[in-house]
Parts: sequence; C-alpha cells; structure tokens
Amino acid sequence: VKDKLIEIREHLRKKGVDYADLRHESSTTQQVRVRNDEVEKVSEQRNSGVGIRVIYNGAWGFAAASSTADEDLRKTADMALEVAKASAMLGKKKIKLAPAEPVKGSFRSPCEKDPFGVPVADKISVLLESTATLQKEDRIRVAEGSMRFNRKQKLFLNTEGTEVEQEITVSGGGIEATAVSENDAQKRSYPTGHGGDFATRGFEFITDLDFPGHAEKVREDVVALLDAPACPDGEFDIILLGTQMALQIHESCGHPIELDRVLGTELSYAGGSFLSVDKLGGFQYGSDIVNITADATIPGGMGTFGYDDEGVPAQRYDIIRGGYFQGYLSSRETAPVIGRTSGGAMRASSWSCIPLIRMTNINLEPGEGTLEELIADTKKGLLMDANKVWSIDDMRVNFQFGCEIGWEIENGKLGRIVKNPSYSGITPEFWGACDAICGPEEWHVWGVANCGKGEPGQTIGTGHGTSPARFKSIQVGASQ
Amino acid sequence: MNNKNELLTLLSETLDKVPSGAECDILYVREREGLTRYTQSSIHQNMVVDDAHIAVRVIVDGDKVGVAITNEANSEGLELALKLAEEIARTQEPVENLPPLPSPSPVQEMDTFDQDTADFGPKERAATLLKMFRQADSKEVELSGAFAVSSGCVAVANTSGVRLFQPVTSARLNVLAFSETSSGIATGVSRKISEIDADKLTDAAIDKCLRGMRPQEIEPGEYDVLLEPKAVADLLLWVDYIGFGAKEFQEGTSFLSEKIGEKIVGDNITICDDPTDPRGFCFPFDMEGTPKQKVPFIENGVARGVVYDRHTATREGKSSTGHSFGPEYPNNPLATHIVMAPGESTREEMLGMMERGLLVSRFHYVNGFLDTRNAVLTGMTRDGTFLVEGGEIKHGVKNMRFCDSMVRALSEVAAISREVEAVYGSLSTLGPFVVPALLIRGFKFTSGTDH
Repeated sequence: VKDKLIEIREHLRKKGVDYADLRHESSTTQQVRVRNDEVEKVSEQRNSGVGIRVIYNGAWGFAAASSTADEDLRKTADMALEVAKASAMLGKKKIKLAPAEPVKGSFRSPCEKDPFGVPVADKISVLLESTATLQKEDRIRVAEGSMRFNRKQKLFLNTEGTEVEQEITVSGGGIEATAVSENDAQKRSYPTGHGGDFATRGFEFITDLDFPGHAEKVREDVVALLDAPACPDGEFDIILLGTQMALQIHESCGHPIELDRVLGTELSYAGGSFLSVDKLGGFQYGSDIVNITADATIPGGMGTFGYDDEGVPAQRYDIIRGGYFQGYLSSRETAPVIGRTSGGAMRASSWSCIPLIRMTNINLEPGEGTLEELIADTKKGLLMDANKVWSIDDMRVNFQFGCEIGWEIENGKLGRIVKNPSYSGITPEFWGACDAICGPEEWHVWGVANCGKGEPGQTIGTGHGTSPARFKSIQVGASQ
Repeated sequence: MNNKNELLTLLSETLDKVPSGAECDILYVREREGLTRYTQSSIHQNMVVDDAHIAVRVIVDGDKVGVAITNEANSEGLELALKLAEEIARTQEPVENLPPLPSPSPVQEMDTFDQDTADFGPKERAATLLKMFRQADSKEVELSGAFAVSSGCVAVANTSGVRLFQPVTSARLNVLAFSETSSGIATGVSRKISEIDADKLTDAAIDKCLRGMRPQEIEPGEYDVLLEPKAVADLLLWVDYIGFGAKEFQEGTSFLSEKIGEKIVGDNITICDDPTDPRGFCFPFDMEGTPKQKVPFIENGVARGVVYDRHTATREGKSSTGHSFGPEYPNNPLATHIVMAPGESTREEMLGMMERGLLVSRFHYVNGFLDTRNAVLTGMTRDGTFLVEGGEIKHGVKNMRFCDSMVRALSEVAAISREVEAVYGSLSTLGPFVVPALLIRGFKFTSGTDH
C-alpha cells in the first residue's frame, strides 16, 4: 500500500495542493461476550481503507474509501481535492499549519501475549467461570462478561515528507451483574462499568484483571445494593475511587482542554469550553495539590501512541500545575492560536474519519498516602465507586455524575452501603475543593474505550492515570 | 455496489458457498456520506466517505454461532468473512433455544430513495451554506452546524431464502445561530434534499438566538415547561434506550418491566414505534430480514409492550417485531422510529396556559442511568431557554440542569401540540423521532450555569 500512497501523494502535489496527508489503516477487532451461562456473541471484524486530507487554496477537504485499488485511490484523492475546492468557496481565513519537523519512524505498543493467539475457547472459559460465580444468588437477573481486542496497523504520509508506521494492540473487558427486586434494579461491575478497563497491552492485561477472582465481591455488592438505603442528599466530603476519578478527569478536564472545542469547532454538537485562551497560564483551575498532565508516552495507556494522526511525535506536558491552567491539547491547525507548536493530539477513530483533537492520557499526578489512610482521615463523608451516570453542560462547567455504589464514612471508618449515589458541582469549584490525593501505590491508568466526539461520531480510547482523591463539601444527591 | 440485482447476486453466490448443513445470513450496508461542518459562518470540516459494513453470521450444528464483519465489499471479501465466521462457529459452545433465521415474508414497499439527494455534492452543500451565511451576516450573528447528505443501501440475505434490498437516502441540516450572549437552534431532516428548507431553518435559528440575547439567571426549582419537539425527542431518546427494548424489559431494569396493562402515565400519552410513518424515515425490514411492525409502548397512559428481535422474542415465546440491529447485536433490540401522538393545542394556546414557566428548545448531554425503573433523567437546557410569564415569552434565561422522573413528568402533561415535527436524535444510528411539543407541569430544575 505504501507505494500506492506515495504515488497518490505525487498526484496531489502535481495538482497544486498546499498540503496533503494520506492515512491507511487496517484493523482486526475480536469481541467475546457471555450472558449468564451462554455465549452471546463471538465476532471478528476486519476493516481497512484510506483517508486523504487536503488543503487547497487554504481550505480543508477530506475523502475516504475502503477500496485501495489504484483507480479508486486516485478517485478518492480527487474527491478530497474537490471537497477542498468547495470549502474554499466559503473560507473566511486560510488554514495555516504550525511547523512540524518531518519525521520517519515507527511505533509498536507493548504486547507480551498476543490476544489473537489465545484460543477463543479459553476466553469464553474465563468469562463463563465469572458469570457462574455472579449467578449464585437468586436476585441476580443477569450476569455478563465481555472481552474486546483490537489490533490496528497505521501508515501515515504527508507532503512534507513525514512517513510513520504504527501497530497498536488493545485489550480489555469486564464483568457485570444486574440484580432486581420488586421495585428496584441495581448493577455492579468489575473492574468498572461501560465494558470494563482497557489498555494498549496484550492478553497479559486480561490475565492480570482476574475476572473470576473478583466475581464474588461484585455479586455481594449488587445484592447488598438492593437492600441498601438511598444515598442521602446534602453537602458531604466525598472520596472518589479511581474508576470514578477517571470519569471526573475525562469530563471536567479532558474535554475542556481540547483546543478545537475552545475555538468553537464543536459548538454545534458537543459544545465549547469554559477554558478560553485568555485563561492560559493564569486561571486557577483547582487547589494547589492538583497537577494534571497530558502524556501520550506512558506505556499501556489507551491514549498512548508513537505519533498522532498528523505525524507529530507523542508528547508529555503540563495541563494543570499547582492548580493553575498551563496547557491545551492541540493540533497543527490550532496551536498557532496560542503561539505554540502542536501538542500532538490529533487522532481519528478510523481511516474513514477526519482527525480531531482528542485526549491522550490525561493524568492526575499522585499525592501521598493510601486509601485506607485517607478514609481514616475523613470524619464524615461518602466513598463512591464506578461511574454509572455522566452529564455535563456544553461549556463543561455544571456536571452531575452518579456511581454504582457508595459507602458512608463515619469517624474514619467505612459504614453502610448506599444506593444510587450521585454528586454535582461546578468544575473549577469542585477541583478547588480537592484536599487530598492518594499516593503512587494507589495510582492506575484507567482505559476509557468509548470516548465520543465529532460528526459523524468518532469513538476512541483515552487513558486517565489517577489515585483516589477527596473533595470537601460537595453537593450529594440527585435532588429530583 | 448499490445495484439491486448485482448485489443480491453477489450475496446469493456467497450463500451458495455455505457448507452443507450450516445456516448463514448476511447483512450488507453501503453508505456514501457527504458532510459539511461549519462554525463561525465558515466551513471547517468537509468530507465524503464511502464505506461498507458487511456482517456474516454462520450457524453450524444447528446451535453454534460465529460472526465475521468486513468492509471488503466484493466476492473475495465476503468469502473470507464466510470462512472466518464458520471457523468461529465451529469452536463455539451450543446456544440454547437459538431461534431459526427468518424465512421470506412479504415486506411493505416503501419509497426510501431520492436521486436528487444522492446527487447533492460538496459544491451544492457549499452553495446552500453561502446563502445561509449571508442571512446570518445581515443579522449580525454567526452560524454553526452540520449539513449531511447520504445515499446507500441495506440488503439482507440468508440461507432460508430471504433476499431483501432497500436503497436509502437522507439529508440533515442542523443550524445554530450564535450571538455574544445567546444561541438558537433549528433542525431539518428528510429522505429528500428538496424538503430541507435551509432559509426557513436559518431564520428560525436566528430568531431564537436574537430573542435570547442577554439571558437572565433564574433560581432552580419546579417550573411548568413548554418543551419544543427537539427537547421532547432528546428526552424520548433516553426513555427509548432504557425502557422500550425487550432486553431491558426482560432484565427488569425498564420502567415498563412488570407494568404491562397498568396505567403508568397520563391518559393523554400515546407513544409507539412506527416504521411505516414516512415522516420518520420509514423502513420495511430489520437487519436480520424480519418485516418491521408497528409496536405500541404506551396507549392512553397504559403500558402496552416493547420491541423484540428474534433472541428476545424466543425467550418469551413471541415473534420478533422486526427490531434487530443485525448479527453483531443479538439480544439487543431497539426502537428507532418513535412516534408520539399529537394533541389538539396550538403553540399559542400552550403558552397561554403558562402563568410562569420556561420554554425549552432542546436538552444537552441527557443521561438516564440514575434510576432506570423510574426513568429518572438528568441533563442541561441549551440553545434557547426562555422565561414565559402570563402566556408571553419574556426573555432568555441562562441554562439550567434538570433531574426528574419521566414517568412522573409524563403524568403531568397539561397540553400537547397538534403539530408534530421530525427531529433527528442525538445518536446518528437513530432515525428521526416524530413528536409534538409538550406542556409539563412542575418540571424539576436543580441548578444553573453562568451562560
């Protein structure tokens, strides 16, 4: 394919484009899903194609097609050019990309045990063992388990001479139980909801998760939730475990730092951001213990890669330092607005999609101490785990999040389980109320497999390294 | 490949290669989508994408299933997928009570394709937008939105003799107008590009934006609300997702679970899935080749039923209602043609019934997993929220968060508009919902924002 793409690149150069890039992707995805004592689904998907991005007369055009036959590739390139010419009819300002040094290189994510080499029967066996344990209680209506594996090979070329190849393997999964009583239904998952935890690693990631070893606790929790009192309303100090912290970081930090949102290119769909460019460097986003980085280099993260989909090498940089806002996720088109070069965050979910600014791994740096010590240090509060509900306004300020399970904390000790816990807040006030973050021993990079953005919708993986953390005087309860 | 005869021949030739004794079905979806996104009255993303999605399911020994998916839309690609699906199936455990593949049944003829729409290209989209941007310039507002035009086909074939083909087109224009302090939205969707009235939508979005300038803050609390059709659709999208499918119903998480035949909301509420309604992208069969049926969920306030695919129907000894999403999604039926019955009120009459309340244009980032048995949703208002006093729209208000049970809210509907609108859902896989405006008493808002 590379030779064909080089030929098309020359074709576009001769047509007089200002810039062009060509991205071929080929991916294989395997999904295994069990429900109660049956296999619900085993599927394998193979998908490939080419996306071509062109700037002509200062305006963007993009075309993509699954066929890589010579004639079809040329048609796709010509269509990208035709689309760019149509864009140029209305362009108010000409696109100018930030400079990027041409690079030639390759990247392969770590993979100790090839997930596609593990027999499907072994995967099913692990999941069925887990659901068998989950089902050992009458009120469990559904026990589910799933695994998903993806391997993607990417080739990127542009008219500036960048040529990079990457192979990224993703593994992940989880288990979940639904318990039902006359007037209630509750869910509990491991390691977290929304399909589980994911990483750019091999099958060793699944082995380490040990689904069967955690099924009994999931079963006990979900049955206890049916009988538990509702989470109280009011102001409480809350401790969020890593699973919910990942969501909190994702929604209230990760999305608002996307510079394309800030500049208005997602206004009509997902919305904008309260972190306007005048806030860069001087805005107090959180308390002085809040340090957040964007790190596309951390091994195993769902936002880890060698090069973004503009061929810019992966980077690590500050987003929040000492509570103050320091940096955006950016692209070659947007970075000049803040006087910087690209932060290397342009990612497309597939060859058929335009790259957008996406989260890499947005990590809250660890503080000190264990979770046990943090609970012991909390006189009265609530501990919450595993995201269930997520809603935030179009500027990423007013949020309400709910979790699968909560526990009361009284005088430094965990008390009763409470059901349907939820909390709400205003983003900078909430992060300003962060008074403790657990240490490195509690830190884990959670993999979110399903971050959505753009039209047509693109779903991509992001990572969020975090420890459990405490927030003071937070509004708890849905107040419905 | 969008030619009916060529495509069905290709699928039949692939099915001829299915090993003796095995069963197979193939879902073939082809789409060419042109999409122009614009913001600040300028195009910033513009694309044409041509792709296929082909799912091949093979069943061996009567009860072992494998699925392979490819986008290689030729005989080699299909044959490879067939072999892979068979390989997977041969390693499987048997599935108990696996329903048989659908047999050929008559499906309703429907007009789902429009050549003018298929021919509408990037230049035509740009020319439409240029005119809209001039309208906006003259009113000193900026436009953002998306203009999408698609064409393609859906085909289903199986070893039981099903051979179905349906060409499709769609056009969608979302228009948002922005001033320094406000925004307004209008959306249009149709199978036919000629039915998208860009001038009218642009005027409506601009008018809403200008009316909402300098919004004022109001206290959270209970308000009577006039929900415009898009706001109603934003709520029903989640009500559908958590409540109208057989999976959630059977698992006991739906607010309809164990309530069939009971009165659950107001007498004036009737909601169904109607795949035959041309206002809602009518479509004759589901992704397994089962003819689609009209399914009532709530009739005059009484819970009536949910939608089924073959798996969930077999579990209750019923027949599929034609709501499968295909071989990849067994056990996951979803209603995609929601129609809510209109009332008898005009918009003016509904406003006149409001002493003090809010007019809501749309909701944003709604989520319904808080308490699915009571259909509790939370979300934000957006792009046009107004205070209504004494039956008149007074001024724009800053956005608010709501958190309320839809079972409760649909029990408090004081009036329903006689006009309905086809509104595109927030998820691209769902067709437009055909819904009226609703006047709901005592809708619960829990907090506000500064914009």
